[in-house]
Amino acid sequence: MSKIGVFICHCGENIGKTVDCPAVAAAARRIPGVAYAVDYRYTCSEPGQAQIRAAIKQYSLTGLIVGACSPRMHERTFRKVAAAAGLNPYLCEIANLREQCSWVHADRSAATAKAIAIIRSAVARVQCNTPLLPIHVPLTRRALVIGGGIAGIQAALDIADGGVEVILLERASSLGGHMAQLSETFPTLDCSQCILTPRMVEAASHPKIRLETYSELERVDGYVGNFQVTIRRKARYVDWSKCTGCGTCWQKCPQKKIAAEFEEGLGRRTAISIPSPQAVPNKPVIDRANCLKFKTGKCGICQKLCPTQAVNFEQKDEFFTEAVGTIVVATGFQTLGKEYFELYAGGDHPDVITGLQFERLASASGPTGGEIRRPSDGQEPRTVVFVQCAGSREPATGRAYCSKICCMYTAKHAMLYRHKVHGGRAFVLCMDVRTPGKGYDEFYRRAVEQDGVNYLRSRAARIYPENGQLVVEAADTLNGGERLELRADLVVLASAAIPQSDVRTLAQKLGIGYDADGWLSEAHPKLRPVETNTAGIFLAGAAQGPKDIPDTVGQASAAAAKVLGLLSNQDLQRDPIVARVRRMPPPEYSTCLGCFACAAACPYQAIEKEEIKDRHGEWIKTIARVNAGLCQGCGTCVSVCRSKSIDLDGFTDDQMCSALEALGG
Amino acid sequence: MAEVHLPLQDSLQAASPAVPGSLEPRLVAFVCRWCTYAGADLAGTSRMTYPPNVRTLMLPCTGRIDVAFILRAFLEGADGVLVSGCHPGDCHYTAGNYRARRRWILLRDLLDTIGVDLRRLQLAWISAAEGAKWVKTIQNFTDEMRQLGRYEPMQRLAADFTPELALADGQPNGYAALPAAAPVAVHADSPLGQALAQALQAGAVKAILGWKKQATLGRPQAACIVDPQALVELVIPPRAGNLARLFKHPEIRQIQPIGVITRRAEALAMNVLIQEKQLDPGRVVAFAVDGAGHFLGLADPPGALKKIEAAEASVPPPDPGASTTGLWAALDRLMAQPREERWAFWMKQAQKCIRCYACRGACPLCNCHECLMDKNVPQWFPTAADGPGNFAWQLIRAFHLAGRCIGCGSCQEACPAGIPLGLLDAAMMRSVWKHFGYRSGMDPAAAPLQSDFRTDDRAEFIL
Repeated sequence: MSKIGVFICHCGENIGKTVDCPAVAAAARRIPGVAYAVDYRYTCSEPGQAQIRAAIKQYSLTGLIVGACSPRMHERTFRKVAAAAGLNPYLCEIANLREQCSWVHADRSAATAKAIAIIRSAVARVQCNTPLLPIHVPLTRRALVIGGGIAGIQAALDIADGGVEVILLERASSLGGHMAQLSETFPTLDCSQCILTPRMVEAASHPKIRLETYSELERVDGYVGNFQVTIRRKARYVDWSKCTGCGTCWQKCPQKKIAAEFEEGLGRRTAISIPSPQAVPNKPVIDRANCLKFKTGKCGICQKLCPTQAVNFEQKDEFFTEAVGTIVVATGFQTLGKEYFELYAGGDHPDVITGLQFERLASASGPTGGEIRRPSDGQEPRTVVFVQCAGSREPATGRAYCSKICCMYTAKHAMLYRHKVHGGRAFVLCMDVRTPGKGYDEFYRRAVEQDGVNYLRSRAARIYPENGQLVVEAADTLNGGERLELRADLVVLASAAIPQSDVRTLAQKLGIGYDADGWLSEAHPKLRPVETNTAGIFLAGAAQGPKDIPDTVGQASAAAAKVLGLLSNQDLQRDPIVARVRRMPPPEYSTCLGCFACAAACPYQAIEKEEIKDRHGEWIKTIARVNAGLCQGCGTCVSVCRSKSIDLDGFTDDQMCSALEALGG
Repeated sequence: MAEVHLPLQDSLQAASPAVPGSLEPRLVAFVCRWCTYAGADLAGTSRMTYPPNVRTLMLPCTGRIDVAFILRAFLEGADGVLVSGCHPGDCHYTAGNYRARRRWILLRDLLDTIGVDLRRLQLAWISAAEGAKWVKTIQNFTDEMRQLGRYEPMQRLAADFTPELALADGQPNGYAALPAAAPVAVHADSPLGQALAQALQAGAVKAILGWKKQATLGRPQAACIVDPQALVELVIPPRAGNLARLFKHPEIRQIQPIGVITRRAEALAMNVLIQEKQLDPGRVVAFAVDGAGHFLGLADPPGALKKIEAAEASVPPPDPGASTTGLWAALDRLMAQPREERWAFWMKQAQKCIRCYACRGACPLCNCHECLMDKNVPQWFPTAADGPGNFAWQLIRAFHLAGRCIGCGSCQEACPAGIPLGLLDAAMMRSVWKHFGYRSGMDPAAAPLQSDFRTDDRAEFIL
């Protein structure tokens, strides 16, 4: 005979005002199987919890019902109370008397009757509950970080410093990401390379970090603690184990006119190249599409001149699989290219450039050696117009969000321009200026007050070339949208930050979510900002949404802390709400037919095959088995099982039928 | 009619704010934990109000909400059942709601066939942010149920049940309307007889599944022949129980390789068994025969179906009005009647059912090792041959065969009371074809229909 304890909470007045709690407790006492029932003003308070603990011991309760707020609120609290008193936490159920009874009904007698029905149903249900034990899943103490920008570098370093081995995956040949392209950084104007390069070297030389650059994620199997990741190491056509990075090959390569991606098309590179002089690792790859050897079969100069015979035109993509316990996704963002802006001089005018291109112009290691020159004729621009919110905050074109970094980098750009070109005029066309952040508004004020940057609240409507200059037509939004016309030598678009173009494919490989814009989804916008909905996969940096460097580094360290926290366990404990194939005596019998309708319905590939054999080892039948590590407890398999051979712990057929039968009966 | 006391009644009688003596409708809601339950909580935190008639049961996902729960709720005395979960695309478990939607589509058609008032079953997508939609849904549903009143036909299932002993009267109803020709004997020198003898003698198969004339009544009876001498007893009847049902016997499954005299019905059923991993196609030799018993050659079951399709006129898909005779016409006649008539028709049929489960035994695909109807933890439905039990059995049987039944009619042939069970299966076959363009048994590599989904499955009935 079960001995159920029922605790009815008044929740102050919240429940007690509409539901007659003493009457509910009295009715509960009359339900067969209930050993103890009481009402109390605040059951979740310490005295309330103590009352439960005492009753569990005094009446040797075999089940616990707390009639209180929604289980989404305090189920965990009361299950802990049960556990503290020696009762299996899964023998505690919450009856929702507040959100779905007292708060939504006005009539006291009706609400009380409904409360009694809810309690009756909960008692019937809990009588079918069975003690459940947390599931232990083994753990691989190793992490994968996808993306070698500042987010990935920071996360990898933090994890590695915590003593955990890290594989740092980067699809370009060098670490660095977007930050390596930047000239100076706001709000301190320190050189981006100067602060980033040491971190890149540190990551490359860290004994716990294994660098896999020029490699991409091919597929992901497994689950938290036990991922199997397959990595594709793309053919570099250079044997990096032999290459010393001497530079002979890229100095002698005859294909010198290729637009350099790192320079945002403003500089040139060779077919065998490194992206920048500070590349880490400092080893070249051959760009197959532009290499003469691959295009015509003739050339091979690099191969002939290489002092270590490292060039190998026969190299193929390599695939290998690694076991990791957790994954950090730090794949970053990209910016909208200028070709997107057709109204701005057709989207292809050389003197209309993006913010990222301006970074290269302003960078000491860039194509102009840090001098601001017009791409069209190499002249120093006397007037520069900066257009903010280019592509951002435009619901009509599909991007309603703010790209967050543009206000600050535009202020920086204007400032750098004024520092480099004396007497040059800088105009910023903006909707408004958003500068939340430490030292950010001061920085913006400095641009306006000390460096004489002209901010005009306006929207750029059209840009067209005229007499070797660019005419920027804008609407003066402080003056009733009056037409504004500016003549500029150079226009810089603060183009929107957008997700990586292949982010959806990546998200599908990883089984994580993304929002309508394509930013990767965090598990909770406030309370779980670095976790994804897939256990063991974390987010860092701008892949989750536009972010500046401090936020990115902060989130990367947060993700690293989550990784280290997870991997500091001996093994993983999971909520035991998982499906289970029923087994019964004689040993190893089951009514499962092995039709695997469950496997076809499982979203997590959690259904495996199991062979039932007799004692002589002879095969009897093949049935389904649930991998508790993969199962997330949705119960879809249970509904498609005709023979009811599979059930969901915590929501068994028996529990649900009993609860249904007792509803008000 | 005496008032039937049903479990949900007490609390709502007390709850009724209306005229004394009037009974308020009782509503049961099955909701998913992540969206609708949270939405209902939100209604509470926002202090919205709605009628107290609804009793909510939370499950992890709409994917977990078994149709048996819905039937059970009606049998427990619910006047209306609401099922609600996350909007398409929002499922916490990626696609549980899509699979649930597919089941609801089938369930609605099944309930409609049997004459259940579909207004009593409300399906909705309500997100965690839609507290207001939850309130509106409950309010409207309660109002509608108040107007309709208590669901008396359902609640009188037990009280109105008067068992009726009946024997199959041979009245034409669907399958029985097919021509009853005499069985064709398999002569030893016929192509089939030669092929069977050769395969058995050469050891290509260890046994042959076929039919022989039963000694006493002269009706065709399934037979498993291991002795080549006994092949002379074989006949090919135009109508007989599907041989594929024999694969339910472990003894038969152990005979490998085994030969099966394969008509269209056997080929289709074996294809489903292959699809459900109950039969290894490499270990079955199908001796394909057409409807007249002409031998078409040896093949594996999918190959045999192709041979039969090539030789016989292809059976039209179960489109409404695709045929004016036989099963589909019988179904059309049934569906042309008003809902109350359909209900009355099926209740009359249910009174004849003695729960002998001959239908279950004759079906090649009703192959569970333990039937849901026989389970006792939980006991889902009454095991007795009573109103609620018979009602549940027919619905569960038809639902479990939806997307699997190949329409061989063995169940109906086997029924000693002459219940036209095949009509329910036909309704499901038509539903499966109409909504999903699917015909069971045609493709052994297809995903099981009820485990599968498409994001564009029809959904206009869902709020």
